[in-house]
Amino acid sequence: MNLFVRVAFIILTFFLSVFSLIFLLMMINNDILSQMIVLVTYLRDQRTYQIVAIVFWLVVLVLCLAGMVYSIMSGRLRRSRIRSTDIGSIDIGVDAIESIALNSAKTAQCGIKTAKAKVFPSKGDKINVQLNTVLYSDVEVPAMMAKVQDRIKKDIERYTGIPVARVQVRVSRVEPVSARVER
Amino acid sequence: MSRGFVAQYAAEAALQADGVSSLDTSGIVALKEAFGVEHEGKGVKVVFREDKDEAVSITVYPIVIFGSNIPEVAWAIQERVKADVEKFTGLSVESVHVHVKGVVSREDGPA
Repeated sequence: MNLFVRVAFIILTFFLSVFSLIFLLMMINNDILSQMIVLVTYLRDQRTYQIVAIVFWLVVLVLCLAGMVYSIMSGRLRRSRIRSTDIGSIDIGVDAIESIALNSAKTAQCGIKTAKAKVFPSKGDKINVQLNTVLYSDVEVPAMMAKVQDRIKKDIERYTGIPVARVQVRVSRVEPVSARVER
Repeated sequence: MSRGFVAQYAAEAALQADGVSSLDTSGIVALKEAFGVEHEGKGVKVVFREDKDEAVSITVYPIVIFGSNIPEVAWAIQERVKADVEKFTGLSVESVHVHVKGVVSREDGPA
């Protein structure tokens, strides 16, 4: 699916660039504009070319729609984790996995002020976790984040049984340490 | 036998399982509650089989307490719901699906 979508995108962008080039030339040069209009009307009059043109534009339209749907759907994991027993299926929602990641990041005592977790599907049956964090300024980022990654991976695997392929930690902002509330 | 009646038993059984904090209710239930309509068995979906009258399939939407093993909690819910509903209603429970909706830590969730 991924490969197909990528090929579709390449074809689509290729056609888009060709047509935008032609349109640019038509706008700049009057001769080309009139010639293109003559060409298009000529093609329109021929029965076979008309059918070819209709099929071609339908393909481009389908590619556009497929690209749109894919880019909307690919943001988050939609399919949640399902495993079935003899009684019924067990289904762990995406929100549940995300809040496990959040909870384990916060309980790690690594100077994380706020965090947002996102879960993406990975190859095979695994998942990728992405954590966007806001830290306090007294944090040794590499050491602490390695600890957080380790913890999130272990926690998700222990509590849900889902193998975690990668944990990405992004530090988006650092807050001054004076804002910290000691607990 | 109404669906709400079966759902109430299932919800009670699911809440008794270890590690379950609450059941997640959908937006439609909240809408119904806002209009003052009582909704029985929140967080549980009960489907009667078309061809067989006595068979039901139940879907439970629990919110699990952080720190518990989700597959184990789900198995416990399945077994308990199946046993309880079959005991109290006499229907045969064909399947119990568990869809874990969320995880709360012990402090901010109702214990």
